[in-house]
Amino acid sequence: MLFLRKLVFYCFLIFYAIACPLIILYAFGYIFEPRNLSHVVKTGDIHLSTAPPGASVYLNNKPLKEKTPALISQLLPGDYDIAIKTPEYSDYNINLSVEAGSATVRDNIILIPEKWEYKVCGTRNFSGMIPIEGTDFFIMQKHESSDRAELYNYKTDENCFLQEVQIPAQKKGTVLIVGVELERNSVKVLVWGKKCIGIIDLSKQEDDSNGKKTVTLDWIFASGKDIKKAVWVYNGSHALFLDDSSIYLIDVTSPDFRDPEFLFKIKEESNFFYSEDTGTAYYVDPRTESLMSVEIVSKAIKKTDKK
Amino acid sequence: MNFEFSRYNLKERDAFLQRLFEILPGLVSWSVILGMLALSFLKPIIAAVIIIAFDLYWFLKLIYLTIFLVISYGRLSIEKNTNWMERVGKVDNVDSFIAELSSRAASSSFKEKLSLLFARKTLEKIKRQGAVLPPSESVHHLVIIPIATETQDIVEPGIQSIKDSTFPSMRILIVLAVEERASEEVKKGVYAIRDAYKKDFLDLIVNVHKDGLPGEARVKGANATSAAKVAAAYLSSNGISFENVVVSCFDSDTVVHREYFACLTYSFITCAERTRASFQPIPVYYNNIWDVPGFARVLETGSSFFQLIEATNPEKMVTFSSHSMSFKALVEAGYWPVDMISDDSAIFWKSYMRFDGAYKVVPMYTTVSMDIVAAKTWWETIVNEYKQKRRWAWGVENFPILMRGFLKNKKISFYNKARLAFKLFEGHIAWATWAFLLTIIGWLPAIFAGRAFQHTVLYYNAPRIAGTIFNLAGFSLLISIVLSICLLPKQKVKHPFLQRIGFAFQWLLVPVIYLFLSAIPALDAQTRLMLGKRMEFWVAEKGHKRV
Repeated sequence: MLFLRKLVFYCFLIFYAIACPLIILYAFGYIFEPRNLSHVVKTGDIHLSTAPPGASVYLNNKPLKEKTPALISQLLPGDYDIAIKTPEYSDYNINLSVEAGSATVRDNIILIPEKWEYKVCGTRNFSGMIPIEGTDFFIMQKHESSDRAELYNYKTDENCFLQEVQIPAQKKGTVLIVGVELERNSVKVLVWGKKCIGIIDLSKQEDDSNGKKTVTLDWIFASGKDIKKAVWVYNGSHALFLDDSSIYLIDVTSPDFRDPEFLFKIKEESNFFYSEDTGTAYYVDPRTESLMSVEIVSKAIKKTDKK
Repeated sequence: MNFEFSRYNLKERDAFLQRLFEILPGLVSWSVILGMLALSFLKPIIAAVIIIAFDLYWFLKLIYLTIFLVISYGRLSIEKNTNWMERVGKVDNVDSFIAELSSRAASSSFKEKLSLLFARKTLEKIKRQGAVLPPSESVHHLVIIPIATETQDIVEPGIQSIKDSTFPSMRILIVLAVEERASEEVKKGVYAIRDAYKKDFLDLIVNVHKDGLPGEARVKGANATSAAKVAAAYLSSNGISFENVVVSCFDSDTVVHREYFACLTYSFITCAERTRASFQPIPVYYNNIWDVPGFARVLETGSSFFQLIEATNPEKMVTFSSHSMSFKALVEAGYWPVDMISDDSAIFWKSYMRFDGAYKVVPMYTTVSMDIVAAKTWWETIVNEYKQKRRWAWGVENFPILMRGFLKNKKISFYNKARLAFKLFEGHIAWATWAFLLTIIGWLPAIFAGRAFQHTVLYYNAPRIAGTIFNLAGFSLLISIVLSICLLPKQKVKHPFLQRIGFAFQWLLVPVIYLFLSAIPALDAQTRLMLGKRMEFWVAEKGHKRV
């Protein structure tokens, strides 16, 4: 038994001593190429991935057995014509260069179908849609002939009505929603039209009298002129909005909805930025055209100079 | 060499060396794990290369071990039906026995032929060496069973199995070594066993080991040593020479095969260096194998496999769990250590040091069956398994003592010191680290690869190579599954076939099981040793399902 053990041990040891460096060299891309002068050549790889997967791959017009996502390995350095083909999709052709020891990666190739398949998600008439970034919802703008806007959940393929609550100062009629912003620590959405600002709380879904799911859109401000943008401020307690080159701050938590506070004017046709992390707003001054910043939410009490 | 095999009462230099070697295994294990983790983040290319080299090494070692597992299992299978008692009777006349073995081979099955061939080879070797064999009638057995918390229902099946063995029980002396601190229920059970079985053996003595003796830790070795000294006095007073006595120290739940003592007697008689040898059976965990969760079965079957593999390498074998040895050697070596938890392996090293390397382990191809640690719930079983494996891994405590002994001993060759020290050290490091490298760390370079690494051929090839190696390793896993099913005892339950199929599928849990219930306990034990902490002896909870 001792002899057998030693024999097997040394056989395995010799095998390991030979195989290990060869496998490591192979891992780095080295192959034995008899046609090459040096016989040992460092190769490269091509990695392809497509949507949809499972497409056939052709290398210099020769079909490969790999399907996407595919790793084509042991390629001598040089240029290669790659064709990706799959039924009912247009062919995808590309020329790729392969370098020794490197992997040329072409991932996330979208194959274009020969015929796009369209699906009707809703049968009502809508004038437009606004996706609410960060949620699974779109706001479907109501058509003139429709009585309510809707929220559409693209993941569950369900919709619910948007029940608008209008404040007395608001003029009745269709409010065209221009933009939306999700509050980052909750599921409340700030919504604005040209003259109005409102809030949707996505967590509060109720059934209306017909048993249809509804979500309430509270219009909290309706006296704007040309509201272009609104952002949440201070953990969803306030909103900063741009109305006709003026920046206003409004308290959205007060049940009486105080009048918005005018803060400053910005250069016409320009934009502003607010950082919730620092509580600071940035804008272009209309007079000096300088980039300005102003602390909207103070992080510390300012010390005044004592005279 | 008279070497104090203990970590206590050391002089300054010895204490320093002791501490140095205590730190070394844990330090290396943590360095391997954390080093590879860091490399995976900082130098993923180097990490990927090391992992490929390691995976290939691991694969080849797995195949190597599988080859010898199959050989060892084959040997166990060959000897399954051997009538050892018949051989014991005939070995008194070696020449005629050799002749008989040769003549019987002609009319035997293939397995019997091989068994007879092995027996003949052993006897021919004995004859060449000119060894004098003791008369078979003179061989006696001493069985010491340390008991701490085990009740009568756990201990009695083992006693019954000894009684039922083919070896004459009237030449077996049993000492039930019960701890003074054991409960009244345990003590009551011990005395009940004594009263019921005393007449069936040479004698059945109960020795109560006093608690808190100076210089002793609360370890099984202290209890066993106390019992051995009592047995020595008994044997001396009855005129039984220690030279012809084989002592077996069994766990309290050990159930021996019918042929165990006959096989042991034969192995003892036919071993030229019998008073410088331990005799190691194959431990299996059949007593309650069908009563425990699947992961526990897989784990303990792995332990049996390890011993089967070790049996093919007796030159480096170390005693484990229930085993036997020459009583003369035990007495001369100074009995079991009274301050070490891992008494089963420590006694081998202690004897090895005492006899300047002239000590060996003889593998026996027969089994002893024990309980798998169990508890009422799955979670408690997991905890118990973890603790038991940590206790087994605490065998690393032998390393610093052994290294100090090797440094002092001038009679053992450097080659033998180096290979044994390396085997012990490497075995513990591998135990603690390999599961991490294979299941977690091996994949990190690809997961945390930076952009530069993602555009290399190595980034794509390394996982493919690792995957290929693991797929090939599945061959070894398949063999393990087949052998584990072959090793399973007959089960008198409904749907035994389905049970066995279920058992086969449980082997797919091996990566998870060996990480959490083998590698982590080993790392835990090494870390404790490294930090100078000690482990209280925890007696494994054993249990049988009540029918």
